[in-house]
Amino acid sequence: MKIRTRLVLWYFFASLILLLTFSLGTYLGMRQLLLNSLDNELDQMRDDISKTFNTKTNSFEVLSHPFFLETEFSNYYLILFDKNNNKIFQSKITQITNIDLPVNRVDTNYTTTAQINKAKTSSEKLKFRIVAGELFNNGEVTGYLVIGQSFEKLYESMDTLLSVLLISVALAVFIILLLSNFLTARSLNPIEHLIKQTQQISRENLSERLEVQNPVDEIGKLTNVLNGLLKRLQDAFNKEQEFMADAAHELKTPLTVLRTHWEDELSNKELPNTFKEKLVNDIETITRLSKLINNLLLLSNSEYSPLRSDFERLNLSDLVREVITNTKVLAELKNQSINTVELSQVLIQGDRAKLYQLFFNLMDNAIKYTQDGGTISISVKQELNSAIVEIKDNGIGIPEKDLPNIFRRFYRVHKDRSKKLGGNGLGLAIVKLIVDIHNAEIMVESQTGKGTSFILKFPLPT
Amino acid sequence: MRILIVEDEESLAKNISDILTNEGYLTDLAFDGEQGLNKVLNEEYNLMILDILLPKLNGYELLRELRRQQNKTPVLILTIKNSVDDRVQGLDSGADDYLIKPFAVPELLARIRTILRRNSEDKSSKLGTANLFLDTTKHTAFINDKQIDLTPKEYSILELLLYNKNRVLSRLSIAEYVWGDNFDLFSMTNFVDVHIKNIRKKIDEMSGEKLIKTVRGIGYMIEETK
Repeated sequence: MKIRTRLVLWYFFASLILLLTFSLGTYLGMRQLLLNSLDNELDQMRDDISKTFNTKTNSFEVLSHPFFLETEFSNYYLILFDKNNNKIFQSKITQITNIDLPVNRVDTNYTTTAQINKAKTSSEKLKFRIVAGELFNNGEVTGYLVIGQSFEKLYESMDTLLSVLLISVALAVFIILLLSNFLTARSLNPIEHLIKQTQQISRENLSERLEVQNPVDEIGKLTNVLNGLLKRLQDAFNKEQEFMADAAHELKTPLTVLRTHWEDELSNKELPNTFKEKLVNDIETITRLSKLINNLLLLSNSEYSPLRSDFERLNLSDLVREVITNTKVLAELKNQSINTVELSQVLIQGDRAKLYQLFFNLMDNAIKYTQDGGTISISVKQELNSAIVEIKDNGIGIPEKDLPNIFRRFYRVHKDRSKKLGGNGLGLAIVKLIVDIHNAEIMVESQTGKGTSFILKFPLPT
Repeated sequence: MRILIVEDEESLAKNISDILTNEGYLTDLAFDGEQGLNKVLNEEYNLMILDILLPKLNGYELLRELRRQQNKTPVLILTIKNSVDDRVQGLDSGADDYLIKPFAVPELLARIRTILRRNSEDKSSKLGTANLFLDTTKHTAFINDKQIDLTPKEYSILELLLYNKNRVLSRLSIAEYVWGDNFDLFSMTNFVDVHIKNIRKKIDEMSGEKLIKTVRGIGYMIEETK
């Protein structure tokens, strides 16, 4: 998951939890507050009724206005008793249903919550808050009362509160989502920039450094660290190249001394021919060694710096034809026939000398690893946006287990044979290197005893 | 003919000196750039063989200084490096030719003789032996003044053999001279046999003598007829 997505999700969940906790608190607090005010209201009612007691008439004045009582207390559960515990008033709801309360023990003050049937026949219950107890006037008991109110209003308020809270939370979370998305994008921008810059640094421009925008912040520090790393990398590459150049020099100079010396002795009339034959062998070994050094230098340099290539537009068929002309004699020595299946005119961008070496190495291999009288087929053609060159022989082939390794340096499939044939195990590694320089692809198909086919795919110039 | 060898590897300098002395040249040695420059400026040489990686003053610097002072001594560069750039740099600084180490002695002698011939008074002097001679400017061969039809590769082989008269040339050296070092020289040595066979077919009958001698197990040579 991208850091940006992760950060947005974190923000999202954190704010969601925060907002929900806050909403829950608000909801519960509000509920308690409303419950308290309900109780207060009922107490207030009780007081109000209690105050209407007229000592002269020894009755509640409010009772002389039954209509008022009926309307004012229509929503209340109200039962009024005189001090002798006679029921003197009850509201309509009490007639529908009875509250399962110790109504007869109204001399005790209490507050409770009770279930009341909504209608006589209905089993639907209404929740009521009930206050019951004595009514006083100047310290004397004047009567008793049970008064209750439905929770319905409270519930309505709570429902409204809940929906308001939920809508606000949803809205807030949505805004946070947008905002965090924007902010993380903004704060990750320098990283994206750094990635782009770093991607552009390859072995060709290792001397370039990343631009430090703010040396104090974390990105700036990271950039500095990366720059340090690049410098060490560049130093290492340079040292490696210097080392290779020095090593090549130190190795080649003594080889030159040996070679000039031995070669001169070939004309020394005092030496017997048998000895000179050994000298010729030595000279061959020296040459082999110096070619090996050249190839190693070529391969090792290529890992650190691009080989300076002189690209030009060239006709692949002409080049392949040239290689065929120069290798024909080798094939003729083994009575092999070279069969040009197709040589279409295909132009590509390439380094002539290196491509020559590439095709030469492949042809040379084909001839070496094909028995006398075999056939080598070559074709050059254009397919869609590529130039395809195929070099196919019906020789000894490459075992399947060796196929993945043939482009490795010093890897020899036919160990005894290739040494005898003068290979140094670098031919195909160099082929691969030249293929890479040209952004081309190479594929091998081979069957032991049936032959090998190398297929090269070059991109056409745009 | 005096040749100055500027090479810091003393054993190599002495080897080259011995070879050239045996070939009848007079040689002089310098082991660093400054010494080389002093010698070539103060004495007359027909050729300077110049290594590139030298102490004190490298080959390119020496060469540029030499040419700046209008000294026209021909220069053959010896270099380790094998890239086109280096060769171009060498020739640009005023060298007449270059050789890449490790080089073959026959090739060294052929290059030296080509340069000396190019710069000698007698430009008409021809390369040859008995009734065979080569016109090195036109790259053609003649036997008894009759032109023979040689392929460019066959001509190169004959040229190398004639530049190295009385020296035995290994097939490897011949292959290197003709095809350069970009090829699998060990396959190329087979070419040499094929080409020599073809050259013999073309010249032996007309010449009436076997000019190219096979030295069994070693290579080929052309002997100077007295």
